[in-house]
Order: sequence, then C-alpha cells, then structure tokens
Amino acid sequence: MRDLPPVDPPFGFYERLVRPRHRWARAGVAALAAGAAASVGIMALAAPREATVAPHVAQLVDAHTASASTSGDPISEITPAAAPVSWNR
Amino acid sequence: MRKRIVGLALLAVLIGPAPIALARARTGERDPLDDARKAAEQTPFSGSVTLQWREASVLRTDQLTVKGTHGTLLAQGQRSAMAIGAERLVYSPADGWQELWPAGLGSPGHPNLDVAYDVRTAGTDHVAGYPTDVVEVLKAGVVRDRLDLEAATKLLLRRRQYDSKGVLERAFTFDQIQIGDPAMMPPTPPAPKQAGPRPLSFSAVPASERQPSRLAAGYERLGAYRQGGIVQLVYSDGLYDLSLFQQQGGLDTGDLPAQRRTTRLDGRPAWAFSWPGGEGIVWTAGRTVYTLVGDVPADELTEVAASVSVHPSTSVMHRLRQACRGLVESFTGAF
Repeated sequence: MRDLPPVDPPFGFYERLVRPRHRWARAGVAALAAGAAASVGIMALAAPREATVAPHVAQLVDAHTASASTSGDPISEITPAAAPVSWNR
Repeated sequence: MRKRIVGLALLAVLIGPAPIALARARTGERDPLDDARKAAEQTPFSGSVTLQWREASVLRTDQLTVKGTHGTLLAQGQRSAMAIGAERLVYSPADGWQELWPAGLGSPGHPNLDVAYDVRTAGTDHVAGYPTDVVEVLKAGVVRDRLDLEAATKLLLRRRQYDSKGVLERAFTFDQIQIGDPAMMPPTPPAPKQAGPRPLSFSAVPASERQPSRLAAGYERLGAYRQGGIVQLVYSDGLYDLSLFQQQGGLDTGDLPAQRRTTRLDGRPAWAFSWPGGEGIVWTAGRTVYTLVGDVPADELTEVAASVSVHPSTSVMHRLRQACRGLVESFTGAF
C-alpha cells in the first residue's frame, strides 16, 4: 500500500465544492455585500464630523506658570512668563 | 493591671503625635524653596537675570530684569509679568495688563519636599557678588535641582535644574543684583482684564476629564480650576508642578507650536515642546486632546504623561459611526 502513488482529486473538484450550486445563493451573497456597504455608508453619513481642537498652548503655559508660581519660589517661577517663546507656526 | 493599661494608653496618646510634629518641623526647615519664597516676599531687590533652557539638544538663553519688594515682583523681558501677593498678571502692548491668577484664588500648595526628594547642603559659592549657601535636591540619588540662596536673606540667586541623567535642563541666574534698597517698588498696574481661572471642586470636574489623585513619579493632585471652558488639574511632587488640560474633540495639529518635537506616547503620536519655564507635551486619545505642561525635565514629563488615564469614547454607537466615517473617508476623502 505504501508504494502506491498519491491520489489527486479530479480536475475542478475543489472549485465545485466551494461554488454555490444555485444562482439564488450567488445573488444572496451579492445582496448581503451590497447591504453591508450601504449600511456603512449610511452610518458614516449619520456620524457628525468630529469637532477639532487647537490647544492654545501659549495660554495654557501662562495658566500653568501662574498657578506654579504661587506655591514655589515666585522669582524663578514667574520670570519665564516675561520671556514668552515665539509660537510662530 | 487596669491602671497599667490606662497609663500605657495615656502615654501613647501623649507621645504619639510628637514624632509627627517633629517630622513636620524638620520638613519645614529642610524646604529651601519655602525659605526662598518667604525671602522674595520680604526682601527688596533689583537685578538682571539670565534664563537658560534646553530645547532638544540646543541650550537657549534670554536676559530679563527683575525687581521686587513687599510681595510685589516685576519681571520685564519681551513682555512684563507681575506678582502682587497671590495675584499674577502679564502685560503685552496688544492686550494691556491681563490677570492670569486672581488674588483670591490662593495657592494650590504642594506636598512636602522630602516625600520624593532628599535635600542636602553643598557648601558655599558666590553669585552676582553675593555669598550663597548651595543646596542640592536629589531624586533617586541624582541631583535634580541645585539652589544658590543668598547667605543673609535666603533670596534665590541661582537655580539649576537637571534631568534624571544629570544633564542641565534649565537655569535661572542673577547676573547682577542689588539687595536691600526699598525704593525699588514696582508700580501697580491699573485695572487689569479679569480673565483668571475659577476654582472647581473635583466632584464638579466632568466625568470625561477626571484623573486619578496620583500620577507616575509621585505627582499628587492638588486642585482643579476652570477657565474659558477648559479644566486645569494641578499636580505636584513637592519640587515640580504640573498642569493637565483636557479638551474634547479631535486634534488640529496645524495649530501646535512650530518648535515642536514629534514623539510617541504609548504608541500614539505626541508633540513635545519647550519654553523658558518648562516642558510640554500634547497628545490625543479617544475623543480628548491632552496637554500636560510643567517645570519638570522632559524625560519625567513623558513618564507622567504615559500614566494619565485615557477616556475612550463612551458610546459604542458613536465609535461605530466614527469607524464607518473613517472607512468611507479613506476611500472618498473628507465629506
């Protein structure tokens, strides 16, 4: 038995296994795919565009400097506020 | 037997608080920045200061004048910054005097320095012609701050801050100073714009912006404030202070500082920046944009930022819709 050659399936065997046997099955798969795509499209249109935020970094830095200078050494903490970095974009 | 137990209990009640009181007294003596703060409030002075700060590998410098007396300080450079008691103000020609911190707000305070740091004296030196007592503040055995306090008044004449590898991050140095002339009173600004923050109880912080009471590296939450719809959470480790700002929405990166450095935080893109007083980092997670700023070294700021709680989108439907929108946009472009 061990000396026998391997047995190959006949040509087209696998294709016939996976291919839908009926036309209605193919149409069903296509309809499902189209439905899913349409659902994604509708959900996307229903979603509002996310509001964007541009943090005003210079103001946030000023707010931090002010609060930090009230608890630490005021001279070394407040002095940098008089030398603002250029936030040029 | 009963008398003995009562006696022992009484002894414990009487002796128990003593070590705590002693530790507090010792802590008070060992916080050189508290000494410097008191000296700045009481000592008249006027001088010029050089600021140095590291921006990536470049050490930048700027020079300013500073004067103060009786709790009023005025620093003048490209613009003016002023402290009058607990009030903080800035002046620019375009906006005039603007209030950054109202007088009635007080201070968020800070934890004891010796919780996270060791403090030791490190001899004497001279700064701007005045003798100084040098104090070193160490974390995990590394000098993080070196302070020069004027020997007689304890005014802070030089401050050098280092990162966890001992590299200089920032320095504040009086090049020239006159101490003790009471005639140097800075003028009080007339009618500043009242735009400072308001205190916020932590229970009033929106659920989407709540953060734990402690962050990495020993930072403890001290207070919450609101200004213009933005919540500021203040943290400190006793030496450095941090402010965390959270804004709802997607990040518009086009409005970030030009001198930013792109980095990553837990796999997410983040943008770091430096200014003369500290470091900052901006990142986005979920539907929130986070901005963390502080006078801490850059490496420690990144470590703390990574410990900030991320609030994901609360609604599954919202996330599904946004995912669908992202999918469609990837094929069609923005709509």
